[in-house]
Amino acid sequence: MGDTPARVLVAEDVAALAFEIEAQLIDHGYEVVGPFPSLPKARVAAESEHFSVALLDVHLRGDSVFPVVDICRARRIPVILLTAYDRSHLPSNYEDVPLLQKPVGEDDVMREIENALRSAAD
Amino acid sequence: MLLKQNDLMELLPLIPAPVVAIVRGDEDTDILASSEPDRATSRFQEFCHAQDSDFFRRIFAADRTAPLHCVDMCDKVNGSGGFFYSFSVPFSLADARDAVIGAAFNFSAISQDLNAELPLSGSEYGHRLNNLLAVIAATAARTTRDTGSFGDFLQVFRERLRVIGAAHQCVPDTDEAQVEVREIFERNLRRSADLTRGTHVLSGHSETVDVQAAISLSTMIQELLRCLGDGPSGSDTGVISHFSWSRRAETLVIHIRQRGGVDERRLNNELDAGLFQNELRSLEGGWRWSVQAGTFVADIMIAKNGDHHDGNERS
Repeated sequence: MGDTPARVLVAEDVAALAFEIEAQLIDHGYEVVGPFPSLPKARVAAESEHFSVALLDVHLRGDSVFPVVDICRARRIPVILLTAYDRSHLPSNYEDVPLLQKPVGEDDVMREIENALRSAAD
Repeated sequence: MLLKQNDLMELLPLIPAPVVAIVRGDEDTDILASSEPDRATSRFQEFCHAQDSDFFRRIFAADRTAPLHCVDMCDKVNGSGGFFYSFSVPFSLADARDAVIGAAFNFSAISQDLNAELPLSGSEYGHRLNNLLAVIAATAARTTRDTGSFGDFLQVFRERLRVIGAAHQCVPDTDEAQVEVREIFERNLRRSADLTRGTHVLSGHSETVDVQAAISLSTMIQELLRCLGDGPSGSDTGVISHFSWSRRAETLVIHIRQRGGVDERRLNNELDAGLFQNELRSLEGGWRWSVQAGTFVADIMIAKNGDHHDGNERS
């Protein structure tokens, strides 16, 4: 990372998890955009905020997060999906998106974010 | 967090939770000591059966204090098949010279017989369980951050787990996307019958929330009931008299009244931080409360469709 901390957009509707991920990201020197517990707020932020990578729960209060994924893709911002389901539940056109399955460890989250930032820089 | 073996041995009899201390042998691990020996060691043995040695290598890493968990289909020790979950927060165990000789960890495990009849579909059951595990792991990590000693950790973590467990039990098992608000309140208040004494008014039209919002709402209610009912001047004199809800535009407003027995300082200290505020924030909600002539009055506002109530009010 450079002098300016990378900004990570977080969308997660499970409160304990959302705020623990937020704390972990801050501990690792990232700046957090969110966390957003619902699709409308996440979508607005994805369209308007400046951020380097998005960590998105697949289901937000009953809504699918894929509209946010589409916005990030259009802006060429890497996405990491977070879900309590396995990959077989993902629509086929999102099969290439990195996926973390809950429950997920801090090390796994940080590794995926570093990978995403590295691949975006290449 | 390094824990001295001698300190642990003094602490163990006082710990009201399954804790196991293990030491590293030449080829295997041995149980050094445990609190609640029958419960803890039987879980440990069942747990060992499902683990590979990599798990123990991670536990023995001196700098490792993050929660570890394992979810697996496995054969249990008694030969039956089971859906197995194990979870622990390890603390490195050191001798008098600070050399790491083993680990101590608290222990939670859920075993589910394969043949048991599940009220939810398989994928929904797994989804709920994985989300619950994620909540437990996040809560453990948060509690590790919030507390400075093993004893404090166990006390706070146990209390938080109790609230989370009760909250999840009060959300109906359903594959439906929406849950009736009345059912959430009825289930939560039924668990706190001594605080309502059967005289409360529960009123409101049919309203539904999604399952995740139901879990958040249930957690908030449990945390509120804990603070209202367990305080030094709580349930002896206080009675919840009114629990109602209504919809104003896109906002669900929940109104709560309790006559007497309110510890204002406790409400200020405990509800302005921790589980209650986290869940409220995740519901994009706000709340205001006051105590008037000995009666606690609170309104909780929960937004739908992304409307946001910024901050809380104390009137």
